[in-house]
Amino acid sequence: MRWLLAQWSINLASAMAYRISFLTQVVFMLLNDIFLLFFWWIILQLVPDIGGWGMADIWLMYGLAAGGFSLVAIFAGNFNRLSTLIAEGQLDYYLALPKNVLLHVLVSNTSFSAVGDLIFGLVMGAMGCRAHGASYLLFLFFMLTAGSLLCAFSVITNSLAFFIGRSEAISQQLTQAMTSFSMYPGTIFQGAARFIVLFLLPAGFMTHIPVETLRHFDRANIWIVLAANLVLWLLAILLFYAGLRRYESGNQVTLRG
Amino acid sequence: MNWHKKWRKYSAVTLTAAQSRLAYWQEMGARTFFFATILFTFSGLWGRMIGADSTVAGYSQQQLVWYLTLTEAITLSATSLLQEVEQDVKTGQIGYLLAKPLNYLLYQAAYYTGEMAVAFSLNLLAGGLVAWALVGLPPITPSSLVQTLVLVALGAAVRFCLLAAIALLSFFVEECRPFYWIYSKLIFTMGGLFIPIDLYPQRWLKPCVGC
Repeated sequence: MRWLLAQWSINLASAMAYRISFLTQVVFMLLNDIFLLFFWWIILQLVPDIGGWGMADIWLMYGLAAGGFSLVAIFAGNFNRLSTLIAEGQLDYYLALPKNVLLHVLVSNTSFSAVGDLIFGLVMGAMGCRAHGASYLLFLFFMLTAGSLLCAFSVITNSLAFFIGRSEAISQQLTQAMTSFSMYPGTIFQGAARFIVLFLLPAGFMTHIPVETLRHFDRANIWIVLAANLVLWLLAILLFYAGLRRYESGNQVTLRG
Repeated sequence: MNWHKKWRKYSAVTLTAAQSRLAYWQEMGARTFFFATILFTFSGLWGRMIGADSTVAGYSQQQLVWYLTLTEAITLSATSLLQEVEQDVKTGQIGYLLAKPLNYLLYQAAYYTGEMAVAFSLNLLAGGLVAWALVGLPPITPSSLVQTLVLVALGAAVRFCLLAAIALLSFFVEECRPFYWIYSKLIFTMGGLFIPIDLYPQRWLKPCVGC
């Protein structure tokens, strides 16, 4: 834990070297997120609800999606750069150190613009919970599980680089597709689409089921979301370490500050 | 230098950009996949919103999906303009480029045209196939086709000017990317990327977006 805290404080210190840039990115990311709500505001002017989802559900959904994403981007900022590091043979540095390779790679980078997402997520969650009379603690718990799911899924898609070489485009698009699906009401996905958002691009466990649980509490859903996390992380770890056996060094000489 | 030579010079840049764009087939595949997911999601959304008269505020599901196909085909035809100009300014490379016998902005415009033409054509083809599978073909006439192509070309030109202006902000600020985020969200909201501006609330938004 001390090592992780040290790693994050190094990341923070490097971001603080460009304070104005850091603050600009945070503020603009916050504005960027607020603009997203605008679309749903227009939609809900046209119809009273979307398959039972109203504005408060949209707030919760965005709170979970933005909040979950921000946690991963801040604490495991390499989550979507993993395929580049693998394809370019840049894992050597991590392999030479007596630390967990996957964890070390993930936490070695931080996207501080995600602080804007975090603020947005927390505020959206508070507004959604207030409107539904839901527990904010439960919202925070689901924010953690959303981030954890996103990270695990990204490790899976990025590990494809071990097997097919340059997979950045497809890895990042798969992760982006999951994030996109998590930002639309669960009720618009029916039949085969429902299967896709639950079992292929598991956005359903990231936001749809949690929003429904925050609206109408159901203990079973908490276990379902936790089980999805467990299965996805097991797959992620198995795939990453299976791939690591095939890893080839890029023989690059790099310095890390 | 006469206009003919200038034309040949910049059209060679456009052609090179188009060929270079075709070489990145993986990226194009990924973009097509993303496009398909967007159409798929929105088709579901419009399906959920459709009222008793089978329309959303007068627009059928087919019209809305094809509207999105066209707007997204333009928007997803992202080019490397922003990164290129930003990098040139930040690294000082622009100093060397300005000394070349090419107008820097015209060179970027020619390159953008080549990249955009290929990306848009492929996006429209891929998106069109997905939209066709989801909601069928809309009624197309030769005149509507010509009008659409002219509007797309004009829209692409406006987009170049806006992106170039944002990228050139790198002269004044460290990062121009945050301005791009806001620009893309303005396109998303005020630009009617996902829904026709006609569907916007009457009272104050329509005058804002200028229709």
